[in-house]
Formats: sequence, structure tokens, C-alpha cells
Amino acid sequence: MKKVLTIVAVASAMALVVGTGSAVNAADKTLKIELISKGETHQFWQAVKKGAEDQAKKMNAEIRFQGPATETMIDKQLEMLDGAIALKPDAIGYAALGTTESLSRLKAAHDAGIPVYMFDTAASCPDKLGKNSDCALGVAYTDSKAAGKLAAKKMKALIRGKGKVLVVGHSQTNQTGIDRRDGFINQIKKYKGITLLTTQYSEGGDALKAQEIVSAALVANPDLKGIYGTNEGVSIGAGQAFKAAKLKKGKVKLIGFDSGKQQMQNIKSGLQSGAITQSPMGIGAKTVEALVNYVRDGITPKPLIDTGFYYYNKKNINDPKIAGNLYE
Amino acid sequence: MSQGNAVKTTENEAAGENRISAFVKREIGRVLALGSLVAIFIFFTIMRPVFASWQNVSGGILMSTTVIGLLAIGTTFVIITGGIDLSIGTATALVAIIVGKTVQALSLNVWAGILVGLIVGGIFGMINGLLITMLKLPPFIATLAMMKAAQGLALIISDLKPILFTTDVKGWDEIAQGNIIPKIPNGVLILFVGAIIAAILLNKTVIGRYTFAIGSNEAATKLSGVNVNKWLIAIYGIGGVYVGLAAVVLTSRLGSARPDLGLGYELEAIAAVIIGGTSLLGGKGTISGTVIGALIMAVLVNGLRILELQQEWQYVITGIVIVLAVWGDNVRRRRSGEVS
Repeated sequence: MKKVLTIVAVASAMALVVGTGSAVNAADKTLKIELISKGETHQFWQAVKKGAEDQAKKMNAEIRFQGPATETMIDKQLEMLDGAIALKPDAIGYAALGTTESLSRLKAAHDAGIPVYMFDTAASCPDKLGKNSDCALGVAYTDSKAAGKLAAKKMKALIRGKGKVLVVGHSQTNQTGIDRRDGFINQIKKYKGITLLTTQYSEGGDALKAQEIVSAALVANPDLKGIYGTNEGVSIGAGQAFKAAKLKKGKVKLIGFDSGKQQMQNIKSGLQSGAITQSPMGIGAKTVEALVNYVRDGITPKPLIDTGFYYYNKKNINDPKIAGNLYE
Repeated sequence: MSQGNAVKTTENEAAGENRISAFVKREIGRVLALGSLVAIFIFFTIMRPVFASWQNVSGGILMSTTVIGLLAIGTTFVIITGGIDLSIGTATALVAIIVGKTVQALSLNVWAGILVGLIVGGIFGMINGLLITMLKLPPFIATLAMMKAAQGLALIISDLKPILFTTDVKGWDEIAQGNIIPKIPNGVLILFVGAIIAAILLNKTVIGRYTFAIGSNEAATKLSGVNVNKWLIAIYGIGGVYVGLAAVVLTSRLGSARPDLGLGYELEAIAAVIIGGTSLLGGKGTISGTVIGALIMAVLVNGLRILELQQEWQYVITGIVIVLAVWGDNVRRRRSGEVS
């Protein structure tokens, strides 16, 4: 009996060793993940990268994060995507710039057996996202339309439901830009007292062009009540236009997007009313988490992961829930 | 701003009438450019009288001309030599970033900061010149390479973040936005003083003479014993100094140095130079023409914004006006060529 027990004990101990051993091996294999982002310049992408890196470290994966210099360089980004596929990594994360141009590449990745999870912006995939899609497993994103809608509600409250409002977009072609604009416009149109001016664009979020657009808008509409800028560069440009025109603080309400040191200062000083922040670190982390779980444990991720957004202003800017998503 | 020969001919002609007709003949390019500037201005004023308000003229039009205008003035020298500089746009961002970093690291004051901008810009321009003369690269390729390098370096040095240094330096905001002369923003003053200095350099100094000589016939200039390489490096250096000035004005207007701007500014600046009557083939050009060209672009873009036209149509109309402006100038040149 004792012998049997010993054998069992030894056997189970061995099984345990072998078992954990193999488990260690599986977890030991550092997964290589290529992340192709839409840009590197804006601090937003740096925060996404940080979130991805932190998550990768926790899950024993290794990421390489790259993106084109500006968000207008679709060709450059597609080259990066081609390069990433050629490397045959364990998985790819992709933030779509060329929402249709990238489809053939995503199919190539699928055919090569490399799982792709999209982040921030989805490509216009013809079929449903998921395991059987030859496009991608899914997308971790900020529901930009809902974020735009929130901005519209805040704008309505700021201008008490009355007056002219101008939207300054940062792109007419990029899906995030379109959704942030449309979410805002669709909501603001519901308010009878608000007049919407013709939407203007500072392509790529060029702060200088945005400043010039807003300077002209202030001249053309002395009774302008509110401005909504769809990214950080636009928000900065609008604030600078207020300064140049020596506008009284708060005369024209400004709601921006994302954070950055200068925008946060503008909000604290009252030059800007507030901004919508996404959760960039969450976007990076959720993408890596979805990919690692899928590759290592075969857990199919949800096709849509909403990573959330918040409106912040002078009052709640230091709120821990908000502050964690703001970056200088 | 006139070339020596033309002035002499004019002086020899005693009759005032002849003098006027000679002046018109010589200046017709700029007169026409100025005419179209005025015409566009009047058009927008009729469409929306507020367009002509001083707030718009100074804060909208003239202020919007400062960065592109300074770049255009500097690059006029380069284009007159028959060269081109594609690096000026991204170099503006790079110089702005270097100025921001240096000012922060050394706690420099405004004047030292401006000086850093001019020097760094000048060195950058001279590197363009070195690549073109020493490595014998075509200007298009050399400056395209520098455009890429500048963009990359701006991103690397800034660590991809905008540099918010202007609030730490007393008076930095004033560089572009202050008013030494009431009602006129300093940025606009810098643009015009920069233009006057450039015009003097181009028309009254040896470097200006060689700029035209190299553009008219580089081989002949070389054969006459001029060290063309040395002068080309200096000329690209002048272009660079104006890039530095543009960068300083840019940071003052934005309150920060941003690594993600500048791409495409070079084309706007080159367009302004060509609209102003400078030939892409070299040998011909004026600073006043360039300033007028830059103003035409700024008036047009601002006016279309004031009319609140859809952006897509703003682009289309801007394209059409560039074609018309340069085509009209070509037709005139061909005609006057036939006559004389």
C-alpha cells in the first residue's frame, strides 16, 4: 500500500512537474506582436504604445510599435503593414489608415495564418469580424460617434442651446475623424436653437492651419458661440486663434479632443472649455490582451471592444479616472 | 529692386512719358500680379464686406502670410539660381524643435532664442548647398533627402511630443503677436522687414548679382572665374536663415514647437514664388513679386474661408487660381518676347 502510494505520489509529482513544465514552456514562448499604428507623433499614439507595452510585459509578449509620421501617409503605413506580414509574427495589431486599401493586406495576413486584431480604427471589412473573417478578429476602439455625441451634448449645455457652432475637423477621409464629426453633427442638429456652420478641415490636424481657419471664422461670424475641434492639433490651433484675436476667455466655447500639455493648460486657464479624452492606454492594452489570449489559449476575442471615453474640464481634470488617460 | 541695366536705360530717356512706359514695361509682371491681388481682394470685399475689416486683414490675411511668406522669400534666391528647395517645410518644424529644446535646456532669453533659430536654419540650408555642390546631387534630390531627414529628426529630437517652451520665455508670444507698431502684429512687421532685407541682398549686393548670374548661365559664370560652389552654399544658407525666421514666428504663433507640421509648406511657398513671377528655370525673379504671390495665396485661402465655402471647393478654386496666375504671366512673357 505504501509502495503504491509512493508510486502514485511520485507519478503525480512527476506529472505535476511535466505538467507545469509544459505550461511554463507555453508561457515561456515570448509572443512576437507587430503593432502598426496610424501615427507616432501625437502623444495619443505614445499612450497607446505604453498601454500595449505594459500589457505585453504582463503577458510575456514582445511588441514592436510603428506608425507613419503623419496620419495622411496611407502608402507609408501600408508598406509597414506589408513589412510586418513578411516577418511572420505571432500576431498583428493594426490601426487602419487606408480603410479600404488595407483589405488585400489583411487577407494576405489571414492566408499566412497570422491573426490580426485592429485597434483605434477598423478597416471597412466586407464580412463580419471574427474567427472566420479573412479581415480581422475584431477591433478595440473608442466609439467615436458616441464620443462626438457627448461633445454635442456638452456644447449645448455650454451655449445654453442657442447660437452658431463651427466644427473644425482633422480629416475628411479617416474614419475616426468622420465619426467624431458625424456623432457631433447628428446630435447638434436635434437642437433647434443651434445653427451649424459649414464644417472646415485642417488636414492632418495641422495646428497652424486650424488657427487660420478659426481666425477667419471669428471674422465671418462675430456672433460665433462654440467651436468643436476633432483632435489635439485642431484644439490647440483654435485656442491660439482666440489668443491672437484677444477674445475674452469663454466668449466662444471650445470643446476639443484628446489631451496634451498645452490643451490641458488651456482648459485649466479657461481658454478652452473642455475636451473629450479616449482611453489610449486601454486601447493598447486591450489589443495586446485579445491577441495573446487568442494565440496562446485559443480564446476568441469579442469582435468589438469599446475602450471608453470621458468629457473633462477644469473641474474634473484631476479626477483619477480622468487623469489616468490624460498625457502631457 | 530693379536691375542695373534697366535703370540706366530709363535714366537716359529724358521724357517722362517714356520713363513711365519703360517702367510699366519693366514692371508689368509685378503690376499684373498686384492687379490680380487687388482684384481678388475687391471680389471678396464685395461678397463679404467684413473681409476687408482690419481684424481680418491683419490677423487673418497678413498673419497667415508670415510663415509661408518668409519661406517663400528665402527660397526665391534658390529658385533664381535655377535650383529648388523641398526641405524648407519640414526644416521649419525641425528648427522650431531645436530652438524649443535649446531655449529650454539653456534657459535662453528671446533674443538668444531667435539667434539660435537663424543659425540652425542657416546651417541646415548650407548643408543643402554642400550636398548640391560637393556631392553634385541635383537640388531636387538633395533637398528631398533633407526634407525626409528633417522630418525624422524633428520627431526624434522632440521625442514625438510638442515642446511647450514659450510660456517659460518672457516675450516669446510677442515675437509674432505683439504690437511694436499699434494695430500691426509684429509677425507681419518681421515679414516685411525680412522682405526688404532680402530685396537689398538680391539687388544691391554681390551675392544677389551671382544669384542671377548662376541662374542665367551657371557654366558661363564658372568660366568667368566665379567660385560658383561657394556662392551656391551661401545662397542655400540664406534660404535656411529665412527658414529659421519662419520657425521662430511659427512657434510664437502656436505657443509651442510641434514636430508634426511643415510638410506641404514647401509647395505653398514655391507656388507663391512662381505666382510672383519668378521663373522655375532660374535667372529671373523679384522679392516683391514673391511677397505679392504669397499675399495672393493668403487672400484667396482666407477669402474662401470667410465665404464659408465647402473645403473641397476651396481646394479646387485654389488650384484654378494658381493655374490662371502662372498661365497669365506666361502668356504675357511670350507676347512681350515677340514684340521686343
